Amino acid sequence: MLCVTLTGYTRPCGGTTGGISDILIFDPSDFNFTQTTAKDPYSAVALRTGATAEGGGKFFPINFQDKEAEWTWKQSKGTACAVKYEHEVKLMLVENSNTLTNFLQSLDAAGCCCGIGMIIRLNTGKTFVAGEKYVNAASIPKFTIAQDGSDGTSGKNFDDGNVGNIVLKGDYSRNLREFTGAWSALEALM
Amino acid sequence: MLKIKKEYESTVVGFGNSGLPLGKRDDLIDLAIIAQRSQDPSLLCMFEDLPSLEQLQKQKIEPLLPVLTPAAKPDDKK
Repeated sequence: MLCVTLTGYTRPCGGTTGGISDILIFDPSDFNFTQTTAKDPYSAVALRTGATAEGGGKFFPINFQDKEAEWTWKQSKGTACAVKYEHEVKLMLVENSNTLTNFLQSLDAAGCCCGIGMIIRLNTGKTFVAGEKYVNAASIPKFTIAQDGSDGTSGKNFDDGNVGNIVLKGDYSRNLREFTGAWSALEALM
Repeated sequence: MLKIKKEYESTVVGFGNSGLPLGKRDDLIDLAIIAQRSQDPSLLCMFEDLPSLEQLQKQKIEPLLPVLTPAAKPDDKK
């Protein structure tokens, strides 16, 4: 440790599982996450003063096609030790409709103004937070998630997919933090 | 005994296994420990007279400790 404090990586012996179980989105200005130390996961979340559920301060579930959502990340090292993590979430939404058009417009507006907050529950049960803005009642460096690169299709034949493939992207200085509360702790804020 | 200020009894904080309003939760000691460890002012302000972290940790562990009864002395058997 004469130069740098490294840590090892260990986990209990056993298998794991891929895939995403649930995705929620939120206005990052509405929620404060609590973190006990700078390296700990988030252990509590609540609406900030002034934000109300009646006023739209909620976690909103996204009903994506089963087994058609994925979070990927890519780390790169740039000039002078600068580190970047490119986060991307792709999810398939079924049926082109006015409802989908309105949803996409709301994503575009959020991406343009204040970013999109995301809660991602993996099939392992672990829950991650992306695009958050407030931790321990203070703002953190900007982590802006926006819709970028989505596409869609009507399909050609009756049994083709009629879908939107939504892409949400955001760069940050680190990988995502985990939220350690149970899903039921988040459901109360939906 | 931990007490939430009246104005925060209906507030929802998602932590642990529930998101019930704070006035209905029976695990406030966990939130109090989170508040003391994080020093998050938005949580600290919800409690009346928040004990120190050491006191809170002691309170959390005490109910889990087995009650030890003193062993009977040999003389007691006579």
